[in-house]
Amino acid sequence: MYKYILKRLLTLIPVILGVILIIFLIMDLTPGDPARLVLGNMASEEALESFRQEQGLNDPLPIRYGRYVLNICRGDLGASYKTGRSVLTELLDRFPASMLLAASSIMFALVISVPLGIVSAVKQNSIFDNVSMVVALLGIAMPAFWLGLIVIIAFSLNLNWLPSGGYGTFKHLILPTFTVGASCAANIARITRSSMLEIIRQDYMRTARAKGVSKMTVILHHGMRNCWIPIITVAGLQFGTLLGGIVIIENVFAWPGVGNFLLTSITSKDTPCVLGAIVLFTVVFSVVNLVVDIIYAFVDPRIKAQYK
Amino acid sequence: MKTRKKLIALGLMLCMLLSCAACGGPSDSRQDSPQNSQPNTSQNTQTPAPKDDAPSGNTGDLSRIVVIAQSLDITSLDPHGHNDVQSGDVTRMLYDNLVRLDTNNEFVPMLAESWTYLDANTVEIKLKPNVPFHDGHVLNAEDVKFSLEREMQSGFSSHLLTMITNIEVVDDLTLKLTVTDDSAALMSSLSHLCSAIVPKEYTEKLEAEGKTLSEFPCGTGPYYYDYWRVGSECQILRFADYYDEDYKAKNEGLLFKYIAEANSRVIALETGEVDIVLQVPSTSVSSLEANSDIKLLRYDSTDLHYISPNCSKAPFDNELLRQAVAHCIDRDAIIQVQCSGNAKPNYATIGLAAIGYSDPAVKYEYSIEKAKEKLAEAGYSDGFTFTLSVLGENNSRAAQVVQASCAQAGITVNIEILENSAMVAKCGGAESEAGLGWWVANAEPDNTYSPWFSRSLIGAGGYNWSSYDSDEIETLMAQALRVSDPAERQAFYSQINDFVSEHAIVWPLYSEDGMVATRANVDGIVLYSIVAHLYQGITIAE
Repeated sequence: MYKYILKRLLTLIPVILGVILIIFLIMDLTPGDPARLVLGNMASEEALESFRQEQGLNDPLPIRYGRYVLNICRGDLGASYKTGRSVLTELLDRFPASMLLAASSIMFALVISVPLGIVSAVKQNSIFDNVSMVVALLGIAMPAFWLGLIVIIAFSLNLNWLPSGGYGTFKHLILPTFTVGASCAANIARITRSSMLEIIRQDYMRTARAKGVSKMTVILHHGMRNCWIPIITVAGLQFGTLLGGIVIIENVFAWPGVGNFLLTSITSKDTPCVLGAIVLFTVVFSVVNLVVDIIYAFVDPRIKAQYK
Repeated sequence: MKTRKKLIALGLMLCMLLSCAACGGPSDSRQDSPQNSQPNTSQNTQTPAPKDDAPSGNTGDLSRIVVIAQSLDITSLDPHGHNDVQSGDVTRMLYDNLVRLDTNNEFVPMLAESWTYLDANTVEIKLKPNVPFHDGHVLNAEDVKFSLEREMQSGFSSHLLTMITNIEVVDDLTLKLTVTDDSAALMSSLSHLCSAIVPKEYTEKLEAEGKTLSEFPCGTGPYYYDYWRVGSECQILRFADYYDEDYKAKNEGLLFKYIAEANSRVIALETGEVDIVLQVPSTSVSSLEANSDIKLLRYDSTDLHYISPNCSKAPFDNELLRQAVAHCIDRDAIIQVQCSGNAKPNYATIGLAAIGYSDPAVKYEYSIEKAKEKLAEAGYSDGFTFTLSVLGENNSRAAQVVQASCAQAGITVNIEILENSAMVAKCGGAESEAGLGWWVANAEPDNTYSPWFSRSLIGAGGYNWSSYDSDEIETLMAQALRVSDPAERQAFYSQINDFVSEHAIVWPLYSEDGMVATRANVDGIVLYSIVAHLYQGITIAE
């Protein structure tokens, strides 16, 4: 198992190097002079040239790439062109907010969607099933920014129960969590339902019932154990994506996460910040996937056996 | 059974993680002012604490803190480390300049008590006595020399003080500036937010310790720094020892909140979570005006939305074709479609309320017939095609109106939407055919005219999008920098305006109304056309 984890962590190295190279190429090929964008409309040519020299922007791409990789090996992600602050500090300032929103949203989604999916499967084609799946479909189809504005209007503007945006208290967390979690819950509920429907028809389920085990125990014990793998897969993928930042939700709820930071860095061609944020996302996404794979092993002994 | 226990343990771990993150909250990421934990000494390089009755950190009564919503995040609290409006909103309250622009567009003393031209190239500046910085240090001429020299070294602001060749400290409160012949922009440059005065010893010591003025700001302004939570909010508190009674803060402090989404800003104002919204979306104007809890304040802005044809290559190296398109611009329709009527038509090359504005002698009014005549005169009776590059999706509706009007004259307009970096590279690099953008002028007209028309900037990747090479404009711009009399300077800028308009070098569209929305109980905000509003006079009625 440990050997497997180590192997997976080592594969991260070429992935990160590849990602850095791709981002370097993209940032280099897209038009725009970072010096002009950072120093503003009226900066003198001398100031612009001095900025380019200082930041090594006049060096060829392979040299810049090599320098960046060497620095990253020393834990130095560089400094933002725009603010002059360390990229690591910029990311660490924002990542806790992204982490909090992603974790709360996925937990909210799991708590709502798994029971919903199970009941829908068990009571297939009932009114409950049809209504809950229509709601789930709406959850997937509704644009997050629209849902966000609707809940703000309802709970902040009309009812005055919750703050419309910001970060800092539990109250600030509720609306963004609901908005992000609703779409995740819809996906997870659908996958739970379809997995459970498949499992419910298996011979071992029928055998367990024939042996006199109650329906509830059969579903929760025998059924759920086999149902967890697809649920964990979907939840893990969504958690990884959420950790990468949810730009629109961050904008709507004034949530100080990494997504909005990445967007503004891209538009201002702040390459060190873009690179730092993408490297962070790559690592986080890979680690989340690894954690998901490890959870598989705990859930399903057959998978654990394969890791050896 | 074992697996179930592990799953429960995993769930509990997730709960713990969530709780820790929720409890950790804001204090983890905020850059606290050390006054929350450190005693004040003028020797240390921590952010200074006030010496008097100002509240200590965040523990005082915050009921009179004015909450202001901004649409962009602050980039730096070092006045020499940025040149953007949202950071300027904060630094303008933390630091003072030698001079400032008043609401009548005249330069009046701030930290300077007076300034005198000893001869054409020497300016003597007398400083006000007993002006304290937030760390208790008293302002002297060395601080001013240090600040101006620091500004000259900064990439953000070095262009502002190119007219100063030497700074001499005469005594504690007197300086002599040696300036070049073209120094007419001196006063406007000294009033610029990048020309703020910082304490020499404090800043040097800070930088020697590897810290930055952006993290630990210290000025002579009406507020001192409390905290900045990057990506979220920044709070500054009233400095009770402020030297100028007329400009002393009348509120406990200011909290600048970054809310990127326009509708969210408006809702936050409606719910009372913020007191002031600085960037009001035009689509929300009618609902805000109908709300008795909200006040919508309007001011004439120095903003100009415009199209610059690229005069250095076909098709717009042909003046007649430029004039033909100029006749296709229906400003009234653009204003309705783009700004819901909240703008004024503009035919000049600078914003309506800007210093340097004049109504041009020649105007190309909207007339499809005249456009067709110009096309025929140019030998293009069947029309022609050009690509209009547009800065950002937000301006696309104005471009669509132009496209529709041009189509009536037989001109085909292809619209391409570009984001900022691509736009500046294409239009500034003289590669576009025409570019639609916007510009906000500051207190110095040369800071608009030079970037737009300087020969040296053609194709340099900046803002000379029209790429029009003209001896006449160059001469007029140089002459305007050599005279200090405002009326004489205005005459030169009027001539530039007339020339640009006559030759259709720029197609001005409109100046959007400046709008600030506040709660009905908010009073005392001073609005400036150049978007350098003053917040220290704000009071909130109970």
